[in-house]
Amino acid sequence: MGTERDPDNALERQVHELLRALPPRRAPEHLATRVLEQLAQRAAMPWWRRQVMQWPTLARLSFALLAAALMLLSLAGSSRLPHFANATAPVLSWGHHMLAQLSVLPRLLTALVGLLPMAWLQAFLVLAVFAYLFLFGVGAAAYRLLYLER
Amino acid sequence: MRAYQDMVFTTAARLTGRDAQAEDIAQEVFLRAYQHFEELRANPSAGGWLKTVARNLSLNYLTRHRRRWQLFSQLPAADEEDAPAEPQIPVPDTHLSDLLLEERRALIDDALGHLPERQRLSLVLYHFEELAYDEIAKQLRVPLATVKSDIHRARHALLKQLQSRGMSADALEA
Repeated sequence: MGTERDPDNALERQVHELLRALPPRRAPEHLATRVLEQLAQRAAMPWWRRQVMQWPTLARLSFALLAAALMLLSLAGSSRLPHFANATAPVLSWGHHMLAQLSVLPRLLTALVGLLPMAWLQAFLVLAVFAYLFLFGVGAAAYRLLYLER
Repeated sequence: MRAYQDMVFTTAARLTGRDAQAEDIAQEVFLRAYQHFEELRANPSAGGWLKTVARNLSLNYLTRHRRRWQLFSQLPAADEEDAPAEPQIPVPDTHLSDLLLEERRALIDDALGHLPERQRLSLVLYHFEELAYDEIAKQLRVPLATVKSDIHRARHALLKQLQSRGMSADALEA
């Protein structure tokens, strides 16, 4: 309990007494059943679907060895990286080509915007802002009414 | 489990303000307790352990929930921004003064549930969980002054809620 409690504060004392006099709430009858069911479900789960720390010792040891082996393999593989780069060169060049094609898109978009009257653009922007605010408001209202009130 | 289930559920329900979430949290608390069964079986502070885990899980839930919905849920209610009015001195009546304890509990829990989330949390952590102001500030990651003002406002709001539900002066003093 905090040392900052003011024993003379009547309101604090009144609320404290009021709240501390309350009996605990009764837990739902089915809580114990739910917990036992969950425990049974977990016990029936095969070991490989449980947390790693709950795996059998042998499985954990094998997993650690496998992970270490994979790590070493990837380190060894990285030393052969130049060969790998040569093998993937055609794929990379195709990727660069595709990116170059995509760079046309912004210019196309700018040209299209230039064709539209300014008033249309402004109206579209205003409409978009209003639509965003409207949907935001609907979302907030729905949340407060449907979720918080439950 | 039966000995502690009401306490665990109550802790979670008062902190989250939602029974469904409190039930999920209580379930998780007992599942974790089962993992530490050997340590807890003969431990006299098992109740404290369960309560702490229930409190931490509830606060974790609320933190996740708040991050997701902060923008919406923290919109202040119309009367929330005003300075709290001093609670009027309740007019003694006998209408509800003889409320049974369980009815009183339901009434007060309902009133607690209607407080703004941060106020309810601070109030519950202070009065039920008996945390100090600075501990509450740390748990909720809000400034100390905010905690103090939230608790002060929450007390006023709670009494106001109870009076509006017809709880008499006698019942409030009892």
